[in-house]
Amino acid sequence: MKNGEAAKIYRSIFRKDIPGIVQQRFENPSVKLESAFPESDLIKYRKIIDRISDLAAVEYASRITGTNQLLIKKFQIMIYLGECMPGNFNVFINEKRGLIRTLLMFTTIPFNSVYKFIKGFLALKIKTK
Amino acid sequence: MKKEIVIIGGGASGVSAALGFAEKGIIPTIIDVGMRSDKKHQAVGNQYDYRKDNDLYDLMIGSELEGLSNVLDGTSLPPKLTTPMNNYIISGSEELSPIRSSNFSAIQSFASGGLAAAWGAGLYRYNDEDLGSLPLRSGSLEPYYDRLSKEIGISGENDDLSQFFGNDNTLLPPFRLSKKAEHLYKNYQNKKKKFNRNGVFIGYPRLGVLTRDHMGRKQCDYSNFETWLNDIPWVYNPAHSLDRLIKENKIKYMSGIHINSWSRKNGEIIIEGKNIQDGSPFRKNTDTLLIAAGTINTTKMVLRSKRDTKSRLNILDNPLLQVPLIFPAFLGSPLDKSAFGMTNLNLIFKSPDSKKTLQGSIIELTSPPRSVFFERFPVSSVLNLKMIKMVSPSLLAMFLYYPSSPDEAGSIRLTNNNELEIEQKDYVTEREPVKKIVRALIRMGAWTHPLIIQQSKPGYAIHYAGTIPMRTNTTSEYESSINGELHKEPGVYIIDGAPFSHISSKNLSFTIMANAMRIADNISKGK
Repeated sequence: MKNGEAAKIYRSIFRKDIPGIVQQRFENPSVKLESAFPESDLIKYRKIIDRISDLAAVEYASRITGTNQLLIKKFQIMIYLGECMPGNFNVFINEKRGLIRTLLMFTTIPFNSVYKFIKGFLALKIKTK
Repeated sequence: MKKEIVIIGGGASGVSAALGFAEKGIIPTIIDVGMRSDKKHQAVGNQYDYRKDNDLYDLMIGSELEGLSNVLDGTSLPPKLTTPMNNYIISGSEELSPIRSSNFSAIQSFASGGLAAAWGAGLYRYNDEDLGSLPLRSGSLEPYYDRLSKEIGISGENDDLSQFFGNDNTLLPPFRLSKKAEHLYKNYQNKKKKFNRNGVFIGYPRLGVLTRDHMGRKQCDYSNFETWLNDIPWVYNPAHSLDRLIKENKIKYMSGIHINSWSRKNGEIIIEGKNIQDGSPFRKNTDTLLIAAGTINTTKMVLRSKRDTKSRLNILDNPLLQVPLIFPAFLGSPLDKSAFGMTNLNLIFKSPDSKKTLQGSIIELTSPPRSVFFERFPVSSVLNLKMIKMVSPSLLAMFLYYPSSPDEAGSIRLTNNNELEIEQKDYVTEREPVKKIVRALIRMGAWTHPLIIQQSKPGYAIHYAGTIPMRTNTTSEYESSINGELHKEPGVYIIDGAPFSHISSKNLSFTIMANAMRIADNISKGK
């Protein structure tokens, strides 16, 4: 597995350090997934992991433009592995009423989405050439 | 001398026929692949209490990465079929019955209980309108619906939907609605005359889900583990009846055998297949063969027996729309952890302006892993997580089913490699009723929009039927009589979904079961 790949993806999604067990569990599906992609996709993926810090922005831009399926699928795998951890219970499950928080989140969605898309799109253009 | 009766398949129809024979004191032999899960898990209590302190890897992902199969293999399996404890339901189907199709999502099961081991347990009686052009009337099915109801334990209520589902005095009490479903139902009740005038009716579903202990099985505990664990006692699985019949010596059960075809010699039917374990050939003679292998596999068996790689037979499935329902009043609310995580309500659309009656299953989404909602929202991954946390508790989903008839059918054919090939054009679903349903749901407090409604890929409803149509007078080798007997094949009966050449928007499962029991009853009269 690429140096720090799992840790980087985990941090992009959950904004904290990856637990050792998740890192271990990521390896097997990651290898299986990569075996289904051509070498050219793997080379591009490695460039993304090595050169770009905001992977979440790149993943979002990729999802919108329908590119970099390998990165998108690795994010999906990490989401599943992350949900398995009791320490992430509060990341997935809401136990308190939070209408204001939710409405605030909705107001930030358009700005966040445009910002993340542009950032990810440009990073892909500039840093993976 | 009369030989023993052989049933191929231990799913819903095979078990229903066996129950019919058992009542008459006849002991049939069930031959089944009969996959079972060897996984047991000690998870107890409510899913959400359990996951606070426990690693979910074994329940959610599994050592064979079953939980990631949709991501890794590009499949679109329902969440329950990907969980490690339930993946056995579809295991072996690739090897035992490969299917080639680019546009039909065909799911098969070789498990004990068949695909019903993972069903939504919707059990609806067909009325004459539902049976349509089939040469079968509801009156001839009623006694068998009643007998099966006693075996299964069906919950529900005689309410506004009784005009479509029939009045049923054997129903167990309905289960507790989730908070959102209750909100929707109250708003419907307040203005129901108006909704009814527009063709929209809402009520409780009829489900094989126990709200009282029944036949040694426990009632629903609202734990939300339905997606995760196998052998949930309150959701009926034909394997429950199968195990009881085996225990009471009312059937002979041979598992680990895959039947491919039959041939005839000296008037006897010779069943041919192989042992799964060692690949050794299997043969058995009989004079009465009931094929209940599930529509797709039954069709394959019939085509293989006739060595026919040319004919293309019809195959039906209900066209299906997935309608997300967002409840603004529940935005930011805590997850309803003790909600009943399956179908909470049914919606029926029946209007004089529309030719078709549609049925919706309004489903609570509390049971599956939260990760299945990831990337359902067109925002970044970090915001997706926030949406899962803060918005998904305000969601229900409605699966809206359309009826299907031969003019909308796909085709199924056996190839020279003994694989099945299925072709299906995209469904054309009438959208005017959808607009009316959406307007009604918005008035009931659920927001949705035609633009966010997704049409599922053909085959996704997993209600396959119509390959060996039932006729009053059979004329082709791929037709069956009203008693299930295959044309010019005395003693060979088709008893699963294959004879249903028309399916209403109501789930066909209960009718398949009642018909299988009816055919068994008729056969036993001649024995």
